[in-house]
Order: sequence, then C-alpha cells, then structure tokens
Amino acid sequence: MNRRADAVVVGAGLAGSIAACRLAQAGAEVLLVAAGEGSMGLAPAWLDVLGRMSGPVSSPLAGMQSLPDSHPYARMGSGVVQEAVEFFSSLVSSLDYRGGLEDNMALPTSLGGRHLCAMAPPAMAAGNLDRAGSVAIVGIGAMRDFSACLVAQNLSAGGALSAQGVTVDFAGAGADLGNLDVARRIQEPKLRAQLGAEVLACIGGAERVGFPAVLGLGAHQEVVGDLERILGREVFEIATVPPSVPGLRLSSALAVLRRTLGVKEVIGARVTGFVPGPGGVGGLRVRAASRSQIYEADYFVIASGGVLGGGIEVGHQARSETILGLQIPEGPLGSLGVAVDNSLRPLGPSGDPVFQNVAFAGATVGGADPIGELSSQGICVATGYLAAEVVKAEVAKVARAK
Amino acid sequence: MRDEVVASTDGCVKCTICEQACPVAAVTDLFPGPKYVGPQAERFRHGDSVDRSVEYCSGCGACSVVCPQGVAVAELNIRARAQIPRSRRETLRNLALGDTESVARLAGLVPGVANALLGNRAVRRVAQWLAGVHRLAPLPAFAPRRSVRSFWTKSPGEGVPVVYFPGCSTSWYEPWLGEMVVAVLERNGISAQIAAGRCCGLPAQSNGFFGLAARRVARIAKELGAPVAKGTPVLASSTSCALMLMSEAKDVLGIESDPVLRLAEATWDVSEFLLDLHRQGRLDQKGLSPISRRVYYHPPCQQRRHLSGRPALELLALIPGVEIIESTQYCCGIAGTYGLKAEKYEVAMEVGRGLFSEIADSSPEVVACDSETCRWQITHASGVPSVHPVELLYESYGLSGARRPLRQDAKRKSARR
Repeated sequence: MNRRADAVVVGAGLAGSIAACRLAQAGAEVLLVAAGEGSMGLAPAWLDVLGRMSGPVSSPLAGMQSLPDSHPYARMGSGVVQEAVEFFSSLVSSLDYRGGLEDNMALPTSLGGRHLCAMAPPAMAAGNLDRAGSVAIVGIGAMRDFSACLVAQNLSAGGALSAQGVTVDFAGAGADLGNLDVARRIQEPKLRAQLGAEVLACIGGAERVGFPAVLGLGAHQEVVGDLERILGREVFEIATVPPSVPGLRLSSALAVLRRTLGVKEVIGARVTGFVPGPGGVGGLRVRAASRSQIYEADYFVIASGGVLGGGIEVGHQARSETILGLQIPEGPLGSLGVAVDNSLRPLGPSGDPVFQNVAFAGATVGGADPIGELSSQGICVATGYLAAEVVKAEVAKVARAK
Repeated sequence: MRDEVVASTDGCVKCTICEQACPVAAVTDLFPGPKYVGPQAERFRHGDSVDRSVEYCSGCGACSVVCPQGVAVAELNIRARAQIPRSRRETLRNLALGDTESVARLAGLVPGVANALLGNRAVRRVAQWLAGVHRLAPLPAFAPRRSVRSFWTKSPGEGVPVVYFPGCSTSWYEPWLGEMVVAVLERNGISAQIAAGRCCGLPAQSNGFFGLAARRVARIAKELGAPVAKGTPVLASSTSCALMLMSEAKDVLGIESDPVLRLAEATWDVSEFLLDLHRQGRLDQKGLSPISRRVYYHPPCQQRRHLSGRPALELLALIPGVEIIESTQYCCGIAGTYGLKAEKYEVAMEVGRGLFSEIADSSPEVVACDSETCRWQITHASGVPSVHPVELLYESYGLSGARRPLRQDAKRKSARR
C-alpha cells in the first residue's frame, strides 16, 4: 500500500527543512524523505544571501535589483526573499540570528580572510571585522586545522584590525583533536575554566577574543558566557573547516523543529523515480531496506541538492536531475540546476512548465551561481520558503473546492 | 562481481556527517569515528585487518542512515570488525553471544536453573572474569517452559495468511509477545502461521561469524521458500531479525541467492505491516479501547534502517487515551550484544545516557520500543518497564490470555547498581 500525505518534501537540508516546517506550521500533513542528513553540518551557520557580483556586495537587498531575470531572487522578487529570511530567523529563534538584508557583515574565515554574509548567529556576528579595535585569535594546540597565527597575520594584513595570534593547550591533550572532540569536551565546565585561565594569561589588552568555532554544541551559550566572564571581554567564533560545529547546531535545531511540528520523515532512503499522476507527478518511488514504496501526495517539493548533494547527476555528455529525469542545460559545474518558473515549477526546453505540482528548492534550482556570488544559504531559505508558499496556496485551493 | 558496499567508498567526500552522527565516537576516544575506520581505512585493508579501533563500532548504523552520498559505512565497518584477529577466549565469548540459538536451545531445557545462575552475582562475577560478559549487563531471563509451549502450540485461526517469524527472543525469552502479535493479527483478520524458532543470524554476524550467519539465513530462506513464493508476507516483531532478513544478509554477508533475495522482499516489520493495514482501512480502529497511560516511545537504531519511518509511533497514536512522548535520542547503546561485553559495557551505558536521562525527565509509566535488546537495556538502566508497541495494542483491544510475567521486570531492575 502506498503512503500518502498532503505534500512530500525531498531533502533534509536547509531548503527541505524550511519548506517542511513552513508547510507543517500551516497545518499540512508533510512527509519528508531524504537520502541522508543534509549538509548543514559542513557549512558555517552563517547566512550568505548575496556577497559578490562583479565585486564585493555591501547590501544584498540593493545588489538583488541588478540580477538577471532568470536568477531565483529576481523571479521571486526581493520582497519574498526578505519574508523568507524573516521566517527563517523566527523559526530558529533559539539561535538568535543577527544582521539583515540591508547590509552585509564581514566575518573572518578559517584562514583570516573576509567573508561577506547577511546574517550569522551572535557568537559569529561578534567577529565582525568592520568593528575597530584589537583582537586576539586563540588556537588550540591539538587542533591541527586551525592556525591562530596565520589567521591573525592575514587579518592584520588587511590593515583595519590589529590581531595577535596565541596558541594554548587544551586540558593537556597531546593527541590531535577534531572540531567535534573539542566542542564536546568544552561543555565540561571545569575544562573550559582551565582553558579560559590559560587564554587570559596570554592575550594582553586585546578587546575581543576569537576562538575557532568549537565553543560547545548543546551548551554553546553557557560556554560562551563562561569564557566571556573569565576573560572579561567579548568572545567570538571563527568558521572552521568541516565538520562545522555551528552548522551542526543549526542542523539539530531544524531537526527538532521538524519533529515538533509533526513532519513525518524517512531519512536514509533514496528516491529512485516517480509515477505520473494528475498535475504531472502522482507519487515518488522510494527505496526502503528491501522494497520500494510509492509516496503519494498532491504536491511535491524537491530539494534534493545540487551536483554535490546528489540532486543533479553529471555525465560525460549530459546532465540530468535525478528524480524526474529533467535535462539540465550546459554550464559551469557550480551553476548547474533545474530551470524553473516564478512558482519554482520545472521548465521544459520550450520554456513551459513540464510538471504542474512540483516545486524545486535549494541547490537543485538553477539560474544562480551560489558559490561564486556567495548566495548558497539565501537561495535555500528563499526557495524553500517560496516552494512552501506555492504548495500552501494550492492545498488551500483544493480544501476550498472540497 | 562488483561489490556495491566496497564500491560505495568512492562516494565518500569526507564530509564528516557520519562522524557527527556517530553515538559511540561522541562518548569515547576508543572509537575514532565511522569515516576514519570506514571509507578512510578501507583503502588500506584489501580484506585484511589493519587496526583494532573498528572493534568499538557498535554497528548501530547511524552513519549509513545519515550519509547523503550513499556510502555503506556501517556495512563496511561490520565487515572489517569480523576480520580482527582474536584470542581464543575472545572467540569463545563471542561465539556464546553470537550463537544465540544454540545457547537458548540448551538453556531453554532448564530455564529455572539458567535463570538462577544468570541472576546470581557471584556467578556473574566469575562469568565476567572468565568469559568477558559484563557482570551488570542486562541478560534476558529464559521463559518458563509452559509459556514457551503455550506459544508454540497456538493453532492458526481464520484469515488472510502471513508467516510470523519469532526469532530467538520470542522463541525463548518472551513467548508471550509472540502470542500477542498473533492475537492482534487475528483480531484484524490475519492468520499467522508461526515459523520455526530460528536465529536470523544477526548476532553471529555482529560477532564476526559470517559463515554461521550465512547458514542461518539460508536455512530460513529455504524453510520459508514455499510461502514466500506464494507471495505470503513474513512478519517479524524483532527489528533486528527484520533488518537481517531485509537487507543485512545481502549488504553485509553479501548473499545474493534468489531465496534470500525473495525473502528480503517478503519481510515486514510487524508494526509496518499493521500500519499498512490501517492505511488500507483494514485495521479495526474502533475496537481499540482507551488506555490512559504515559508512554515514552523510542525507535531502535535497527528499526531506522528499515527506512520506513516510525510505524509503531503512528500505531500507538491510534490508541485513545495514550499520551506519547517521542524519543529525540538515537541509541540506547546496547546494539545487540555489544553492550553485554565486559570491555564495552561502560561505553554502551554512556551512549545511552542521553536516552536514559530523557526517560527519567519525562517520567513515563512505560517505555515502548520495538527491539528486545533495547528494551532490556532501557529497563536495566532506567528502571522503567518497557514493552513492544504491539503489547499496548493487545491491551487496548481487550485481548487476554497472553501475559508478560511481572517478575521479569522486577528481576532486571535488581541487576542495577
């Protein structure tokens, strides 16, 4: 027997989670299926909306006005992007995102570069490089992928900031520690008190103190609070190479929200194809442990990821979307995606929608260059939100007709 | 032949999502994480064992579930674990835990004596020292022979035929659960033929005896060949047996024979089957009378690998009056026989700590969980009685005859420190 829901969402990443939560909040019965856990735990939890066009973009909202018509932001309009970002902030209000679409902030990267993003959690936003004053960058000896001196050197080279790098031992750990190891250990109050004392001894008069972004998982706020109390100054987090601890905090927060909002989910199962139905798609074929099952719905949101996430397959000759088998036009690898209309419905070669009851979201959507223009999370949030709005309107229409 | 499991390592982009999800690496430095011992170390193995750290993989499968690239991380690690060279004492201990069917057949002849011995602290101390089974680990009690007999002599009623595969736990430890499953099915017009009491082979596989495990699966596939060929579903109430028959026989043991593949397609978890009946409008929902009870539901790690959502949770929600608290934790730690071992008991208890404290905080009257070893571990660590979800359906239908002996829970509680 097939499973049925009002809407089926494919993908448990940022776009899929936003769409599923928005739909569930509106009272729809949502079934979410995903091949894996989504890749939020790889990216820093900052929200890139638009950071680079021909040069650095200081205001995402202003920059959006000069995007080509085929860009997802241009299709939905900056008003919808703004609504989407506000929805995101209120959804994950526990993470207390700072910033907005008016101005980008410049945050330090793990090499001491400047990264332009619209919003970030408070501990990252506190690292804003446009603020004057001196900073100390703290490295932890056993963490080999984060060099405080390199970060400090590169930050100082920018000119605006005076940065000093120090490296301390963390609870005498000689072996190499990963980001997650430190994030878990530092949740122990005694260990972070020791770390705080060691740092205090060597940072001199620096006004702010930057740590690699490993300041706790569930107990993040307590860790930051304790360190600020011990050091007597503001503490901030600097993005690291994966695994990303702030990304993991975001990923867990969204997983909890999906559950509490009543989204039914199947994680770890692949969607292998679809069965036709009214509106184009009647159901998706999902591979369980030993059998395939059809997940039926009136509407489908596909946020299965881009080339890296497995939503788009690239061969020697052709490129295709993996669930509906849509052909993807040629282009640079980072920009490959499904061509969509203003309601995120997929377009065929003639430019007309080929499936009426499907909305694409996230990295699967074409028309943008998320890495080049620094817009990855913004596109996920905006298309995830819009996909849910489109489906919500359709579900309401069906309900009225009944 | 191309080995899909080994080939899947090429999909690994070292994104570390599995490392983030691994419940064992989160609590101990003894296990460096699934990526490290899995797709990464695999490149050096060529089928041989290269280091012992993979030993601490519990096989819960969280890594395979969360991997977005389709890498069979857990399957690789379970295979690699089986290649580790062992001392004779370790081999014997693992065989005792892995060949559950033989052990149960022997001890089941004299359940009273076996239970008295396993419940005796001095004996358990000696067993830890001699055999490496932790003295506090939650070993189940053998059921009295009359309740075993009562289950096995049940004659199938009228209805649509299915096969019920009881596995070791229902056959020798919890026969009342089998009676309840059969009764709940009958109540819904399904007639269950009870398959012979067999081990599915999973404990043997987890303990490194792949040959024995393969023989166990092949035997079941042969014995159930006729009903499976007729399209009769095979139902399991143990999520680990179901997982073995559904996918591990192929993905871990590498068995691709037709009877085993056909059995895989025919296998259902009993809750998944009942929920499917409900979706077809064939489940007697009106007959479910209210039970006013606070139930904490925990889906076992093996159940998540069925990739079918949380059917038991949806079934429990059909019972009027039941207040359900859904677990937010991944694993209880026991992972079959992992947490029974002397060197891993503390790790397993630490893995389950989040779950146990969540249970304590939500103060349920009962925990519902689909896997027997998880139920034993949960009751052992939290002191809260635990049942299979079907037991609550049985009660709600007002069925009688089968009863979980009360002393089972009391006894396990006394094993706590």
